[in-house]
Amino acid sequence: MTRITPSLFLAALLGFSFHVASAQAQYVRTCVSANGNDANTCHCTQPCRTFQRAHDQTLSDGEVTVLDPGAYGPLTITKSISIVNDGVGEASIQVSGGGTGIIVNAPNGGGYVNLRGITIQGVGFGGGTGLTFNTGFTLTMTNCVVRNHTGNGIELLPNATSHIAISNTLATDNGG
Amino acid sequence: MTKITWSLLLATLLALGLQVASAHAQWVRTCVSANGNDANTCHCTQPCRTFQRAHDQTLADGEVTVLDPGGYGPLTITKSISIVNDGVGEASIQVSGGGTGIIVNAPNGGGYVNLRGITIQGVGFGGGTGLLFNTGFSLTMTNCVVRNHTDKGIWLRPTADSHFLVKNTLVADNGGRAGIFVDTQNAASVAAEFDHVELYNNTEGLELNSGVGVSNTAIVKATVTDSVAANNLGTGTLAGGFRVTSVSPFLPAYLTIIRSVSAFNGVGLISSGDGAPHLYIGQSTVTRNATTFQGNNMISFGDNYSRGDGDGDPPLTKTSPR
Repeated sequence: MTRITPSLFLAALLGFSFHVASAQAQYVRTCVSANGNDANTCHCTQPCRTFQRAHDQTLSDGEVTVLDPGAYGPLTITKSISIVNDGVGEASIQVSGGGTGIIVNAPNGGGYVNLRGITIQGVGFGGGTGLTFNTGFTLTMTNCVVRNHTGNGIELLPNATSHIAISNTLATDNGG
Repeated sequence: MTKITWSLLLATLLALGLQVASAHAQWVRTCVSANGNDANTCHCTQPCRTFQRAHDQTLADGEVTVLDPGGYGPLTITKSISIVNDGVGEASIQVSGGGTGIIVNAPNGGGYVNLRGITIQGVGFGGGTGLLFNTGFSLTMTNCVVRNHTDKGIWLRPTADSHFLVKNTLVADNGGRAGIFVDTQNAASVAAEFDHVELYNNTEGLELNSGVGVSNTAIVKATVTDSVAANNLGTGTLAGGFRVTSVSPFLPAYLTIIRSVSAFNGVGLISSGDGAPHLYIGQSTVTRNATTFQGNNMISFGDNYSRGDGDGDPPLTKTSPR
């Protein structure tokens, strides 16, 4: 395979991504992979291992793209973001120890959150909750599976005007 | 990776692609990959990095195949072409700087365009429009996502007779006039089908507008089936779930809605303009909109549910279809 030279890498950055020069560089697109590493930048040439690290490396209004099947860990969302698995295989978040798979704490009034193709699965060991929406303006959730939680599957607790759409989603075998 | 010899390459070319002998070789199939390079030919043994380069390297009626997840950049389509992501992961176009994700400038009368599994996502930095159709004979769009644009999501603005299908597609979080805006120009007859389309959090959900310059023979018609418009809450009069507009003296636009839901919008259903637009609705639910409907020529087949709206829940009165 062609070795990616630094100049090519730079060209790719310039061509496909806004590289914001800061101490903590963020991207409009990041990637996660089962072969990724959270020491990476999460740029799609250097994918990360977890949703949380990718989220943190993504600019507001950006996208996290799942590259291959795997478990990508629990996540707290604090910005407008789109997290997308478009059919690469299961992109899963396993929940245990009374935790929560995805917590949405996006800005009220202007936080647009989009989740596609994510599985949030309770695996025992103290159980937990699938998804908790606390704040944000919109949540659009499609092609997801939320199951086997001891708490609620999807828990929508908005404290300001919010617009929620959930479609083609399975929420089953949950307690709460 | 195995070094590709010229003889193998030639054999592959002969077996899998039609090479047109010209200074600028094109293929019936090209490929894009996140690991591709636009210095390549875009033949699938040498994938390119962007949709635009692959499109340019593809013969009319050919296909661009997405090999793996990635961002493939904005695109102007000028020919009959199929751009296909059949579940390899997100194949995305990011839009910023007031740009447009996909512009369709295919030949009127003979341009057949097919998009599958493409995500068009606005990412801020000046925003933009998702897809703009200017010219072409048909556009079929399935399994796509168009979201987070400051302007319209899908803007269909044909200048000649055109046929549209949008299916299994999510259109959400867009600004501009509407999530999907059919805005016919210049005497075009338009037939559009929207099936299993989800319209959330846009200014308006979907608007069929016979536009300006429509001849008195052109017909603008659309059907919406098994679709949902919800939380489309733009400002003022632009807040409809589904809307049809036509202006006299031209023939009216016809919008037929079956097995669909309009909920939590500013107005559930709107017919506007003085050109006698017609909206037919059956087996559908219109509920919990601030206003149930606005305008005339709202024709119910008599089997809809309409309840719980902020304006006192007027029923959708059954009128005999013409």
